[in-house]
Amino acid sequence: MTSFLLRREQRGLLISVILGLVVAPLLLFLVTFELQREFSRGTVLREAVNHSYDQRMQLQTVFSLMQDSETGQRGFVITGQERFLEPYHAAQRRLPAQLAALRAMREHDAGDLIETDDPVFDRLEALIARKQAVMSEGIKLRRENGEDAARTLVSSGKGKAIMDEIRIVVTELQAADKAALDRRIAADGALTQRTERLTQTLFVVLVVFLLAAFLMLSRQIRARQQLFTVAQATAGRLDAILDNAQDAIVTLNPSGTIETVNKAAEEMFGLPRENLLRKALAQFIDLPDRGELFIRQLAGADDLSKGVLRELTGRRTDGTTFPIEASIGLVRLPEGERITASIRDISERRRVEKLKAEFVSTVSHELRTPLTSIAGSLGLLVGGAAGALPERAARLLGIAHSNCQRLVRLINDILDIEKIESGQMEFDLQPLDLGELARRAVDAMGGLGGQMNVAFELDVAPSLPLVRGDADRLSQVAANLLSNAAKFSPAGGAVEVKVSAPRPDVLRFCVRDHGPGVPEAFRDRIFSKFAQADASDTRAKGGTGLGLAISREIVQRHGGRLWFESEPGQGATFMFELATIETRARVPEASDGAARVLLCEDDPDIAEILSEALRQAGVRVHTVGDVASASAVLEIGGFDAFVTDVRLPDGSGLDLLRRLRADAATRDIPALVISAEAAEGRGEALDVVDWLQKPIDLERLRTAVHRAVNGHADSRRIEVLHVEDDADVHAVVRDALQERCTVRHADSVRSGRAALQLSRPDVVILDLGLGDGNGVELLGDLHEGDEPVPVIVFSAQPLEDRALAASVDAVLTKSKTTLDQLARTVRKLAADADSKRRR
Amino acid sequence: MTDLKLLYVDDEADIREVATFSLELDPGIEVRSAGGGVEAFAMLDGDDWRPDVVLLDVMMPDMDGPAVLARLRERGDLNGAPVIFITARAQAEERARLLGFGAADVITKPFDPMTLAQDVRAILAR
Repeated sequence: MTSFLLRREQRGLLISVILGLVVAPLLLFLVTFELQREFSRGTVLREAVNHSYDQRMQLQTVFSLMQDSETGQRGFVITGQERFLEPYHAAQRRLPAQLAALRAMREHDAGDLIETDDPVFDRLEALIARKQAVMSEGIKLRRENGEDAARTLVSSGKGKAIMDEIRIVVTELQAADKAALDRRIAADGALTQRTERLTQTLFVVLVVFLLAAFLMLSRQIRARQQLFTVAQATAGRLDAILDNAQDAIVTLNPSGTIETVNKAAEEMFGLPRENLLRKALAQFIDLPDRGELFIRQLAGADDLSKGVLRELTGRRTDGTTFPIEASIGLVRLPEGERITASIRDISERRRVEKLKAEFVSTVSHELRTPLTSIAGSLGLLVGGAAGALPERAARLLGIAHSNCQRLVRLINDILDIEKIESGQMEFDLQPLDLGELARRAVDAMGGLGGQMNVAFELDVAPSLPLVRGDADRLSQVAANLLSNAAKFSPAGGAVEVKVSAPRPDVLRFCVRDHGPGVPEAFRDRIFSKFAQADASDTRAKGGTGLGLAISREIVQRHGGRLWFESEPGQGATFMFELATIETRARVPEASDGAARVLLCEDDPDIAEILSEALRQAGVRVHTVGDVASASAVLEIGGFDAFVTDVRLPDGSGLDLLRRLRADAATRDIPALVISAEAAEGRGEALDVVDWLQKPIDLERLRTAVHRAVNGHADSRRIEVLHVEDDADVHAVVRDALQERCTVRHADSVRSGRAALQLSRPDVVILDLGLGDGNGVELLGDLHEGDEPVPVIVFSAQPLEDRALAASVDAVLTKSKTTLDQLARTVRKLAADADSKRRR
Repeated sequence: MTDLKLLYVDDEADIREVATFSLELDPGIEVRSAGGGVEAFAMLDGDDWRPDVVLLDVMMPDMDGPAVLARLRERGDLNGAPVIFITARAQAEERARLLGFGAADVITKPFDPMTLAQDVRAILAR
């Protein structure tokens, strides 16, 4: 509708413009031209009238001069007195000039009113000449022959006849002149009439045209008004839609400044529209890098036109924050690109998610309580605790018992799924020996194998690198794959468990059975929740249908993949792969105090050249070839500087650096970038010590590394010995300290003592109740020597002995002390000891 | 002959009974149980009997496991005897939290009734 109106309106407008700009001036010009011509014709006519009058006057003057001459001559002839000749002479003197003037006047008109040759005027001149001749003859006769001769000449009438003729000619000339003038006036009148008609016609046309133009214009104004109304209605409708939208909708210019907002946005951020407009979005939404980079990334992203969904944090003016989900897209408007963001407050969703997680957790707990009684009772009965049972009863109780255990597994699995889905499953990632994990899994599964008459055959390749993983979670995956394989193996069959390195950077855990294989129809669903090849399997095999879904999630969260290969009737092979890491053991220990530098470069030749140059600079170099290995090794820590290439096989060194800078643990590591490209300001943003462009100036590299390493000499890692018999507590403490400390672990008084004999740490964290004694027994060892090691007692039990409490540097109680406090205490004690040593 | 006096505190009577049954499979263990902290304190007040180890349920009405543990310590009933928590919440964070109260270990429900006594002895042997 709108576009149709627009088209019609545009066409009308075009016609009007053409008419207005071309036709109207043309008409006006014609009218003006005609009037102008009329005016100039009037002027010419007036001139002609004047001229004709002048000419007639001149003619009269000439005639008068002739009459004056005749009168004077006659007077002289009659009287003989010379005095009478005076007017004659005067007239005769003037006459030639007057005649010439008359001739000039007539010649001026020649071709206009009078023919070019002027026979009448010629005749007049001839007559005048003749008359003059007669008059001068008369004068001559009077002087020479006396009065009578002259009188006779006069009386002969010759002079009078000429004079009469002159009069006739003069009259004739005047009449002709007047006639010509009349003719001209008449012709002019006709022309004026034509002009009048033409002007009138043109005027009428102009009026018609103006009327038409006015009509068209008014129609256009109406159309425009209509269009405006439609547009207004559309805009109003859009505004109404926008303002009634639950989501805050804002548009931004590419620099991230808010251009429009809807009502929901005002409500969401608690500000009226005018306080939101022209402000940076980053004021209201927590964006990484204060929004600049983010917006630039958004503005530059190719797929932004498809829209992206981000979870961010919104900020009200009072400083309170709330979780938001922003769907961000790019629109191309005539005035340029704009970013639209539809922002949803997801506080409620988060709350519901939390409630659901709590509900699931509570329900599972509530289910476990009665299950404890049931499983306990059944277990006791089946286990023979109540004496031998009749065979039938034993069988029935066995069924009840195994199903009870299945129920427990189901609850555990549901809890796991819930945790994974809500992102709450946390992984304690540690360097891990996958072969050892497989061994333990096979051992643990031995009972089930025997029960099912299935043999596990383990094949672990020798000297495999380690992977990074959560031992408990990966054991869960292994157990799941093994028990699945056992369940689907024929009686007396074998399950082959193999750990190998198909590539140097990947370890594969493989479980192969010789069962029926995975049915074709089931392949797509095998990793879905509660998926089982057929419902009867559940009962037959005692699975929960969640195991593979959980296993795959766990492996994926480790950055690995889990999949299977199977041919019906040929058995199935389930396997997962994890990236290996360069573990601590393989990183050269800098026992000589040299700084350690991690070099990330995929080209082996360049890596060799660079590491040689770095070694010459006096640092220990450890080389990795990709982003994954670099981040794994950096996470373990212990490096004084990091040198990275930009283009790496699995990503960008700059992205890795960005991640390092965003993580408190790695934020401060000095970094150098090696790149084929120029820095163009990127170096500063990532806080690099130097950006070296290829080909690399090795001297500059050495200098930069020197600067990087020495600039951070103070951030030497603190060696901590943690004597603690609970592995979980130790893991938590090590995590909290890993940013600045290298934590060794001893789980008993005996191993603590051994560790102290091996090397003296900077700080010792001591638990009191240990398996083989009390932690205080170690205090003697620690206070030996001239450099006592600072001791923190970190125990659940209070240290009641005051003397003992005074002999340690800090006493912290497990449930009361936060881990941050512990980390601060460790750092403070290490720094104190350092400064003491320097003095 | 009994060599280990064990106090079991749990508000679920059924579980108390099953656990007692399980623990007494070990002839060396003498089990006394209580349905909550108050009952346990009353029992200890009326008797000279003192446990060598205490098994404490975590989620109980009125007083939860950690509260009972704190009170037992305050009252001086423990005299160094280790305390093991029993909980239906199996998460690692929960375990770490409970260990933070100074427990010797945490056993997750449902426990294996045939090995419960062995498990307790293994913890005490550490």
